[in-house]
Amino acid sequence: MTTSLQGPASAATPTSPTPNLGSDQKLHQLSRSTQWLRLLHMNRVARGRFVSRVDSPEFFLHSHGKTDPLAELLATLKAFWGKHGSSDEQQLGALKQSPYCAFPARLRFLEESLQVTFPAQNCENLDEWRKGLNARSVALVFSSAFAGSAGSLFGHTFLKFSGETLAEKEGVTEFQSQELLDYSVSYAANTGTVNPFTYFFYGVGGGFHGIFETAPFYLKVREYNHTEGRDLWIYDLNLSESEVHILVSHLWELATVGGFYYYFFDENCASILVQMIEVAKPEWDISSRFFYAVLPGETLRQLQSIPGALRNPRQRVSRSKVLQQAQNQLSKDEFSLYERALSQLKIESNENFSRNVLLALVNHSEWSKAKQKGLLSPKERQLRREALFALARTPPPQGTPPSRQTPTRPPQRLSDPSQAHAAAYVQTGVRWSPSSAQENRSNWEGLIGLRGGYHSLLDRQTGSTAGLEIEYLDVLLRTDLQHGQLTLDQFNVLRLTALNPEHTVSFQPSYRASLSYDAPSAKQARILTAVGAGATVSILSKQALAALLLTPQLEVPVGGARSGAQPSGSIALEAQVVGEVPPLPGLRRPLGRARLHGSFASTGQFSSLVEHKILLSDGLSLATQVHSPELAVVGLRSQNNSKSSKRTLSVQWALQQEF
Amino acid sequence: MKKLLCLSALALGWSGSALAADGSSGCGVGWYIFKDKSLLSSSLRQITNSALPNTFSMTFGTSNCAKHSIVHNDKKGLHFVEANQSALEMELAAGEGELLEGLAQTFGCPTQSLPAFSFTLRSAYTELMPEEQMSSRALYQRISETLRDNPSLRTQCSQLAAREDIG
Repeated sequence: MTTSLQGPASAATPTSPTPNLGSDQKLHQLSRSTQWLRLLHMNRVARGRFVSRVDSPEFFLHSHGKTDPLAELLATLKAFWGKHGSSDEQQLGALKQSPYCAFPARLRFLEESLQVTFPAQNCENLDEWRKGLNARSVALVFSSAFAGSAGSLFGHTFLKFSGETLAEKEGVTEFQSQELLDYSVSYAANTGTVNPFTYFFYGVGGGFHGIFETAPFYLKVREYNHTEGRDLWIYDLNLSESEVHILVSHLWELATVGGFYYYFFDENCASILVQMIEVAKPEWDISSRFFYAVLPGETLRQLQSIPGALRNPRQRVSRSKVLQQAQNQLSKDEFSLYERALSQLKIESNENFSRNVLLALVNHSEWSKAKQKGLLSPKERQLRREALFALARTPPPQGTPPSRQTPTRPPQRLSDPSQAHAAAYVQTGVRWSPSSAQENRSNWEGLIGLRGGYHSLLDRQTGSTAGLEIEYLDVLLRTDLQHGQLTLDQFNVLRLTALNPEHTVSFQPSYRASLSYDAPSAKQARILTAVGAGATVSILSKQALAALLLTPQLEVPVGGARSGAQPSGSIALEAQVVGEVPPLPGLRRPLGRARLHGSFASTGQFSSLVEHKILLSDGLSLATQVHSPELAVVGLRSQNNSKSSKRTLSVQWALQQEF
Repeated sequence: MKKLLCLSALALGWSGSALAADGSSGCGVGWYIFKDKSLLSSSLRQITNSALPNTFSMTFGTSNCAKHSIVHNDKKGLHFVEANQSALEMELAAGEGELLEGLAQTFGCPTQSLPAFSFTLRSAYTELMPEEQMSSRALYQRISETLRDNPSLRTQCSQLAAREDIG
């Protein structure tokens, strides 16, 4: 049996006869093809059952299109054969497009798969947009994590289209600046200004509505590099011109008739981009590799693992780094001249201001303008104006390339986010605590655990934002080796630490926040929340950070064993040093990373924690922790007459495997 | 009516405000949970729209699910100056930098004309910036005039002559 589609148009227009499309079986197979399922963003939920991630009903030409790929395929074919302008033609989206104009990627796929040509229509909106975008190659742009906003903690990704082909780009030896006039397309939650509570629940539960935004790349540079002080990394995607054409076509479908609710954890900026890239490049299969969430950094790492997928990596540094660079170029005398001008807010005409000092001064004014939301005081404005006029009188040195000041450069491997470690790991190990015997427990316990994400200051630092630690869903179970019972030992819901050591431009505060549950023994279960702030400096020639934080914390006892115990608040002074362990004499490689952590609470309690982690092989690490709730030196004295059942010391070793 | 607004914005490339083209009836029909009458939704819309400089027209390949701001060719330079004015002033005075190169591109100036382009504008910096706070439009106008006064650039930069009517 064969299928022919009896659209009203095909009967009326002899010029577009209804073709023989082949057997039902062939169409059924086509509707189950990877490419068709990807075009519809279908998720296989069970054997033979699908649901599309697209939430807008207009994206489906058949009323059951969201769950039935075949029905949608037949409806699409029927619509493409239909007569343009006829009364039953669907008008889709705000642009009231015909299906032919609204679905250019479906059109191309069906024409190629079925070897047919649908009656052509004129699509002005699409043509104009395509012409403006002028896309011949496409790059993935990653912005570094931004501790200033919860939605930006994991970075952000978007696409940038360029009018140059990949081959033309690779012919250019130096990093040049043609990129500013490119167009970027990003997908983001339309959050507006809502309170943090709404933000969280809408973000996780899909209450926000995602929008695609096309904008000149220079506006993105202004937003990220200048206003928010974030770096951008740009990677050309290894797509041919015709694959870029498909990507743009599909983007049009999603942006004009498709619509998604935005979920922070699975339908976010990164996952939608990955699905779009997969439509253009069928042989790349990235989204099926993720196990629970799509983090922007994880997308990059997965793409990096496909040989040759990412090309020409480059980094575009933030305004504050440009300023730092300008300051670093000053000699000692120049620097004091620069500082004097900044403090007096004027340029003494009898002083000899070199071009470098003037450049540093105007860069400083640009930076403070961004920091002060565009506002400079009248005196600062006057200084800026004087420096600009003086600068215009000093010619740039001869023979330097015009793009000398361009903030784009090859990325340093250390900071390249595509080289970062995996976010999640499983761990297994043992713990030894000498005092457990008092509670009829053995000295040895077995440990098993999972960390959901994302990055700790003990992890390999490549590709991460310096000093930023975000760990969530970190669960550790312990088992008493005598009785074999499995108990929840710790559950870190969230641990966020931002240690900012860079004070060359201005002082940056450090802070931390955490929410965790721990139960060192059956009688001691508690929930701990802490929020602290303080300062950090770089030590040991920038190999380590030393921080001092003042941290108010709240402890809430849970469980029946200590009924009657009240929540208690305290404030702790915490000191931590974290960094690389220097190599032993005769060895080249550093011996992993370590953290020494001490805290003195207002309740009079000391505690100390020493952590160490070393990478054994690809993704496998050995982590050691020495924990003493009462500082070992002071605490040991009370061991014999202690009324409390608290362990005074524990040592644990665990093997951690990333995945 | 909304379609009409939208299309007229496309056709004329000028609607006084880009916002006018963005008929705010939500995304598609009826799926978007915040109807446009709700307080939340209208405030969201305002924020989204004001994220882009809106004094210049852009073509809008628009739906309410997307903001497609493709800048008209003949408005490229003006929009570029508006979006980057502060940093551009710095590069005009310095006589080098990527924004200067981007600006040259909007005038259709070839790469080899870049030294002359930068030199001309740096030398004229005092005349380009007679006041401390210049409107983007006035700055753009002065830049165009300065460049047009240079016979060599006038012939080399393909989009320079075509811009005489703007300002």
